[in-house]
Amino acid sequence: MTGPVIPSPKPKPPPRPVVAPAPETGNGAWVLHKCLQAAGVDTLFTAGEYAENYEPDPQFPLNVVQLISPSATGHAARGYGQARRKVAMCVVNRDLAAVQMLPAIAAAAAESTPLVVLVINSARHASAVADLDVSAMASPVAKLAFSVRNAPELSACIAEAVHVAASGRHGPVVLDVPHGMWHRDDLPFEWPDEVILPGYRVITTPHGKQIREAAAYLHSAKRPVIVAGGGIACMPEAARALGVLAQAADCPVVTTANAYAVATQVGSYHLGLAGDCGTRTARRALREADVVLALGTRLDERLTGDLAEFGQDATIIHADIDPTEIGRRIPADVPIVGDAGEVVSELVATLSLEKEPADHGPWLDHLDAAKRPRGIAAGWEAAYANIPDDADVVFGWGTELWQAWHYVNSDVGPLGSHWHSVPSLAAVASALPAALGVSLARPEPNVWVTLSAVDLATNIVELHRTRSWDCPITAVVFTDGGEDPALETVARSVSNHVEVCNTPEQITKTLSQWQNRATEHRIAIVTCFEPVQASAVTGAVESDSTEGESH
Amino acid sequence: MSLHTVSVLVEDRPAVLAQISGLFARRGYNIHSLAVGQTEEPGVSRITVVVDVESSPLEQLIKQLNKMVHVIRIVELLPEASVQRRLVLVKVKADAVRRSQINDLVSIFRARVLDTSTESMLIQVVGDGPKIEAFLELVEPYGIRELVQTGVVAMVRGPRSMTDKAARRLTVRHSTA
Repeated sequence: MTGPVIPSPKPKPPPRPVVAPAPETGNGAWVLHKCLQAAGVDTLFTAGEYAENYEPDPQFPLNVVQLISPSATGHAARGYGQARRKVAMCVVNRDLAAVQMLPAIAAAAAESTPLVVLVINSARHASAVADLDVSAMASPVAKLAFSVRNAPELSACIAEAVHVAASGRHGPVVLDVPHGMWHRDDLPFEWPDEVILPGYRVITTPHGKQIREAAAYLHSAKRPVIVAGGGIACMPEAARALGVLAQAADCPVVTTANAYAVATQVGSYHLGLAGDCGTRTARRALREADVVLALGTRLDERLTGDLAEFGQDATIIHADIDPTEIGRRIPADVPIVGDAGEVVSELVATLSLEKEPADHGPWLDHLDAAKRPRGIAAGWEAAYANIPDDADVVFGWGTELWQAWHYVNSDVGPLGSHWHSVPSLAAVASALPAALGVSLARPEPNVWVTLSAVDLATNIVELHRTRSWDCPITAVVFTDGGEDPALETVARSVSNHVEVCNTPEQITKTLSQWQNRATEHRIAIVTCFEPVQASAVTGAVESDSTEGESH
Repeated sequence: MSLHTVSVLVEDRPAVLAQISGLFARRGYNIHSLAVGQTEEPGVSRITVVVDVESSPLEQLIKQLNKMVHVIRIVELLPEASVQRRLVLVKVKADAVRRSQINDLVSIFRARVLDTSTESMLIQVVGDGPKIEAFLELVEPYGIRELVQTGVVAMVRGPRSMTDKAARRLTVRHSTA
């Protein structure tokens, strides 16, 4: 900790001599700022000092965000990129800090978030051996990881990183810069009009033949179901088009956790979340379907369960912008490579040519009959029901996400369209920094995050750091029963708005007063529950043993 | 398992080979042979990999390779439609009595003797898999002192070239750079 800075009277600087304009070169920080300006990036996340000997250009206001730990900084950048759907830029001044960011990088890859992490490595020059080979460590989890070999190419490499991160299937790119190169002062800046990578091809427009084949299967199906994934959820227009497709094909829709936000666009065709935490109806639909249309989803294990049993009798149509996801786990009968939004629009157009509109009334009735309300503990219900509809909601991993799933599958009420789930890869203690990132991404943030006590305790320093920043969050902290005076004390040290709620009524009272957007961090500590056992919630509802394990 | 020969055109950058071999390792595929070298196109290298894999994981493997940003093009080379060669250097025990017998084998297999000493011969043999295996089987009884071999290199028969399209893409890059 540094003490308060005492301003000292500055001597008046002597008048500057008139000199010829300096040639357009500078150090790494200068090049980075020029690149950010060219790429239209106005926020820079950083873990540590990166701009020694560099005075930022006052003409280019850059919001520099530095949290306490590199790990939290990485997750904040990830949250920012996920909310903005634009490149989140992160610069790290030590290779060890980059290693601490690896979980955030892996999570950004899993949820397809555009993130660029620039690492100022400990190696002095490109041919020296670094203490930690960051690009080698990151390359299995990043979309691309590479080192800058020649100093004059720094700006071109940054352009390349930004282009790859935010095109095709978005993802994290790690760029490794030797610190000797970074601190040179003769680096040029050249921003290419177009980044050309001979080996990098992105296919967004689906093949017409595949679309016609898929539409024919969908139209002639008796029991079709659409699985919508993150590829749909990341584009509002794609989510809207999905609503039209569900109607045109008269087809029910199940969603992955990342795509839950599309539920509001699909209306009554939505059967809830699919997969091992999903609804009984969604699981039944997938098990009994004769045509499964998977859109922008990895069809990961949590969704499919046992590979041998998934879609045994169904024709699988799988559309994804990333060809490697198609057939990776489930063989596809109709593979479609393309942008999920374009695929949906093309399918709608093709289906509209059919003479007879699709009618799957009996199938929808059959699934309706399987619908049952899910149980949810009264306290959880009170908390979730009071989250405003138009808020950004970040669900932490752990009991929070699990409970949130139960909430969204219950009939308590709809959530807003800004849903950010934290992928399992991001693990514990990532939801709070991600929420700070989401808050930084919004001009008028109203960000709610559900946390465990551990999540709050781990990140209390980050709340302290961001107290006076314009990125307020409202945290609902679920403890596992029993009052915890220490937690309350800690929370009060970072916020003037801390409420401890011991009954559902108190939760409703507190949270209903917090509906409007916060001006500073607000923390509700919810302590009124016994720990909820898996069987206590699911057992009552999932009594049908043929449905299999719920969790 | 079965052996498949895959030719991969890549941008000639550091760490590209490591990334590709890392991909094979992570997915649990065994590289049977590997050869890397520059091509007629500046900045483009060609990696020939023989991999021990069934055909459906192979399709996924090719997709994964294609996804790598610095991989330009991938072609699987079928044995019946391509020429495949590898080169072996083998040092065989050979005294004055046996030297002529070994020389007979060398001429039958169109191999070459590169060096001879009083008790050994250094032989170079070039060919596809079965030919080399047959030769080694025949010299084995004399005693092999040392053996080293390159990876398989391979090329499609006929006029088509794997670098054509790739070269065009690169030309675009260079002209705009």
